[in-house]
Amino acid sequence: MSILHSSIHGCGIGLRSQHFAYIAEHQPNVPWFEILSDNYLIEGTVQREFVQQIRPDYPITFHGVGLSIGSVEPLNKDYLKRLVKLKNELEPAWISDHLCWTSAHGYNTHDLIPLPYTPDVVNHIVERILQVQDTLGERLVIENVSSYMQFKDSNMTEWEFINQVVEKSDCHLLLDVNNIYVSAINHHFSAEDYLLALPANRIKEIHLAGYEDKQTHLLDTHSRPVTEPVWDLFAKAVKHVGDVPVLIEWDNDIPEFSRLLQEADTAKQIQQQNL
Amino acid sequence: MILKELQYDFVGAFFGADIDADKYIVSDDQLTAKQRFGIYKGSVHGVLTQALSDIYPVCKELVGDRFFDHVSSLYINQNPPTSALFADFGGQFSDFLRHFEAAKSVEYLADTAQLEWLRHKAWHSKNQEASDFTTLGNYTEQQQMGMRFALPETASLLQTDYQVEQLWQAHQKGSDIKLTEIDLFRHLNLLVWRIDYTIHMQELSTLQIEFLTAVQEQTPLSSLAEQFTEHLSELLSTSLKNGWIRSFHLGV
Repeated sequence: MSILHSSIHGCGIGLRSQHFAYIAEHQPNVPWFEILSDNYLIEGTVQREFVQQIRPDYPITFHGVGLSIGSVEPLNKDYLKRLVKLKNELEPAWISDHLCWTSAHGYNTHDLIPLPYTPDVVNHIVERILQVQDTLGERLVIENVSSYMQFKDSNMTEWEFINQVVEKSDCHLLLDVNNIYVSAINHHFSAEDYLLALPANRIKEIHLAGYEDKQTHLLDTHSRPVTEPVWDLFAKAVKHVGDVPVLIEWDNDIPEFSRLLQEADTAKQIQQQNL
Repeated sequence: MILKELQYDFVGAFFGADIDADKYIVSDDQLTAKQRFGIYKGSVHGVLTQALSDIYPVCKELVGDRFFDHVSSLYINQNPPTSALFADFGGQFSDFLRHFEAAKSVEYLADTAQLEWLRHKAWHSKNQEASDFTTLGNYTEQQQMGMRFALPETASLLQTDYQVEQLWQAHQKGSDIKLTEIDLFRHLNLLVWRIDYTIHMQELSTLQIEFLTAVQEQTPLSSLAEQFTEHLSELLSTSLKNGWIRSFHLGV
């Protein structure tokens, strides 16, 4: 089987442009890369050409922000069209985005804003995920976000909300262990209760990243190593979901590539110890 | 709660309007609703300010971090991103600076920003295939006269009263250009474009920028010949040799 169609397994790394030169020169032994698909939607750009070059050597997945699956605005057709074109060009193993909204009223926040957890919002999201899945011709993988606020109108837990969304839309779930931990601390609930309530059979991928402690709350900055409590929660996640691909994300204060490989090694060890 | 109302109120408040955060968000003994909303507003502005810092590093050095963050915040409120493509954000920053009273003392700031935007644009534009210019001779004279040329899609032309390219170079790490030696208040015609992974900047003569402007406006070869008469041959050969002209097509 060629790399192009090989499956995703083990611990991958989130591809960032700061590491392009290193990857081109050293061709590191990484089982797969996840690309931030929003950064590759313009044809013929440096970024897109780079991924085209390394694609024969590495399986890839897409991870987006701009789908704005929770927005009240119609789905962005131009964005989807570009995403489909990129998908056809690079053949990712799957496409993921976040269970939140990023744009409304014609403006784009480029940030992940949470949703109220109500049955109406479940139905709204499900309808939109179904539309996206029709367009992509495959199941979408949707990620739980970290949050710093809870809405007065929410009348179910976040994990109940996620369960209903993935069941009704028949989509997959990207389990971000760090996001669960951050939200659990910020909103005083049990991260383990949340984790164990998620449908293991829907989980396609696990994300790991680092947060910043702002004293009054944890901020999901992706600018630090994974913390001990998150590694502990990850071990429990491995027991819950089994052998699922894991990814290290690092988006701010990005270190040398070798530092990311160290994080990936730790993830692999914990995964092996807990399977 | 109506989701639309929530999202419209939130987006409005991210970009400058007031919001009654207590209407939507739970307060607790750790943080109030207003503080929790503030975390998101700070995050949205943080992401966009970082984007402007990445696109306009020389402008940031010219005015200092504090002023840059201040002007960025005002810019973000007045020009919130409307595209899902992150690379599209920040294109009006140069115009904003030009009309920003507190920045008028740094009179070359807006044009420096314009140069940095053109470099950003070149990086995020298509590196299109070049035409095979050896086939030009295969066309009839009539076809050739109707021919139109094209600059690379990554290319932009800049005309400014300041030597912002030298200024930009002087602000690069390891540059041996000294700021004190730049004749800043001298007119500049500049072409910015990308070949593969390298962005190029080339100072042009008046005739060259007039020619490339005409090419950019899709002027047919017959009109270029009338406008540039005996200079046409040299202008064309220089442009082709340097990659300033990337492709050609017949007719309209």
